[in-house]
Amino acid sequence: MTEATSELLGERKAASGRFAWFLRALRGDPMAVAATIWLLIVVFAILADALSLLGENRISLKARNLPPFDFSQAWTLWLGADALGRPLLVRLIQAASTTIGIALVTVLTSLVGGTVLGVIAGYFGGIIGNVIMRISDIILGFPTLLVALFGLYLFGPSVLNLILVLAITRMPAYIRVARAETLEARERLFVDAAKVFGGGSLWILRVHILPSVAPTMLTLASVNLAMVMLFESGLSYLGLGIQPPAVSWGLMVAQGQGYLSSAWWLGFFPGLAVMLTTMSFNLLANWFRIVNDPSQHWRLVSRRR
Amino acid sequence: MSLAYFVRRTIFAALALAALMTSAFILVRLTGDPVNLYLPVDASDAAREAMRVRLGLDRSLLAQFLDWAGDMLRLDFGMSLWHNRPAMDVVLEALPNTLALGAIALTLAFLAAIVAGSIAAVNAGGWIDRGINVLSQAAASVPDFWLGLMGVLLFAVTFRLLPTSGFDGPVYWVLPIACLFARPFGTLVQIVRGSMIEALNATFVRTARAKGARGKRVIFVHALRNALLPAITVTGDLAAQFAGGGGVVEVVFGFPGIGKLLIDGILKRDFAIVQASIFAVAVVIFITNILVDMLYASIDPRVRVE
Repeated sequence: MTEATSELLGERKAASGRFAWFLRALRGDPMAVAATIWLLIVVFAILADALSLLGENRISLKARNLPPFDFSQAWTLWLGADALGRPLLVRLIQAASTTIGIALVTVLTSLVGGTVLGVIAGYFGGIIGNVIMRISDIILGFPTLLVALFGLYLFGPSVLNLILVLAITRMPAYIRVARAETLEARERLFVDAAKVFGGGSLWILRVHILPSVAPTMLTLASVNLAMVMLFESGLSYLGLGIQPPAVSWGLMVAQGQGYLSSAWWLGFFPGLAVMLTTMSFNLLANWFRIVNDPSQHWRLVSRRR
Repeated sequence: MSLAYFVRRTIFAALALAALMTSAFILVRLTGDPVNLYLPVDASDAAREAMRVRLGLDRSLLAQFLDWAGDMLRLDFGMSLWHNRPAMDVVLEALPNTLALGAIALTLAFLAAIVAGSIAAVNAGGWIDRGINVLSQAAASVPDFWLGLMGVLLFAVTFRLLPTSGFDGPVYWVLPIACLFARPFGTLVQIVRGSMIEALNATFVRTARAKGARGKRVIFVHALRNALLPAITVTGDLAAQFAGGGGVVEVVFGFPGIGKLLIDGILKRDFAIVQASIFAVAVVIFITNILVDMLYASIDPRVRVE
């Protein structure tokens, strides 16, 4: 029993050591700290909205196109109100959950799908592997926005189609990386050993291949999160993504466009929110990549200098 | 660059294009009524039936496919319903505008990024570096359509310096170029900065310094030349993405390029235009990729195109 306890303690110590290292690495990078704070604010705002703490999102004709920074109003109106008098801040938070939610689901879909297909293509190869790779090459040969536009044209705009189209157009990048990593891992000694001991293919994939592929895939996913958010915003702005009455940041910019000269805040704040959030995702993805790659640690060090 | 390499690339590009177009054709036929792609939602039943006969949709699927494939091979993309002219003519009119817009924006972004990235790398960790870092991260993350609207608000509506939208002389290019400039600039600054720091710490730079080369010469001749390679690769990838048009930016400014044409074609259900512009974009991307490969091989002797 004592042995088990000490083992457990050792594990916990290692975990807290890693956590401390994360914190230390974060301290060396003030931009990553700012990004974390912004994302925490967004998450809390979404949670507050989910628990309906923000009050009602009522149409109020008295507050139509109310300008922002009028602090005599209720605090939800501090960023102004839209053409129907709904508080812009509350709308922004509702749009945040759509925009970020879609980006997360899309990235998760392409991460899982791309990893599975890439590992299959790399580990088994053969005809299936070839077909997977050729199809990825074809999709990768065209600009992402073009393929996404074309897909939404064929299938019509809806949330599900938007997620599927974006996930599939981004998937080839994951497939390529997963395949390359698998090809490398497959030749390692421990995989040969596992085969010699009679391990089945599925077991080897789960226990030996996936863990060595996973870190690279997660890094790729974190980089893609910002990209997918920008694509979703662009498509929604064009009217091919999120459809009203649902709301996303890109759609809000499109709706504010008509009031550009009379009520600039309608288009300004949602776009600013996209930029800050994308930037935060980018910064954290960068930071995550550097922290996870010992050969890149000099970047953190040189910034601290 | 061997002929065999070129032939292989051409064949693959042609196959990829054929696969995309064919799958689009099949998907259009499988996902409900293709007439919906041509006509607005509120079209009458009689108009639908007339369109069905006109498009030959009352015939068998195989006959339709053979007909369509024949048209594609003869580069006949059909009549644009909106412009009432052959779709390819409309596309070829818009293509030069898009290419010029993308080329100018990308070249400016590349040059500016080299300067900004080098300055950041030389001052790594200092205030200048931090400032450039924040600026480039913001530029890489800003939604281009929003940047366009804010540009219109500031320079066209408030200060009345530039036109809001349209196409009538050089002033109409300023805002679209500025918007397309932002994202590649931001991305490239990060890359130039990273590879420049690496190059400045490399042994060949130390050797150059030890041999008594002066500071500026070391930075701009020895280090920069080696640091440029990753930036050129990324610019090549970006160039291919840009061939699809400044897409959303063109729409914001009413710039008559292929991106606006394609998006309008999609919103107005003009299938001939969509088909023709995707074909044109694919050809441009193919040529861009070959040019980038050749450029890359000519700069870095270690790269041999196989």
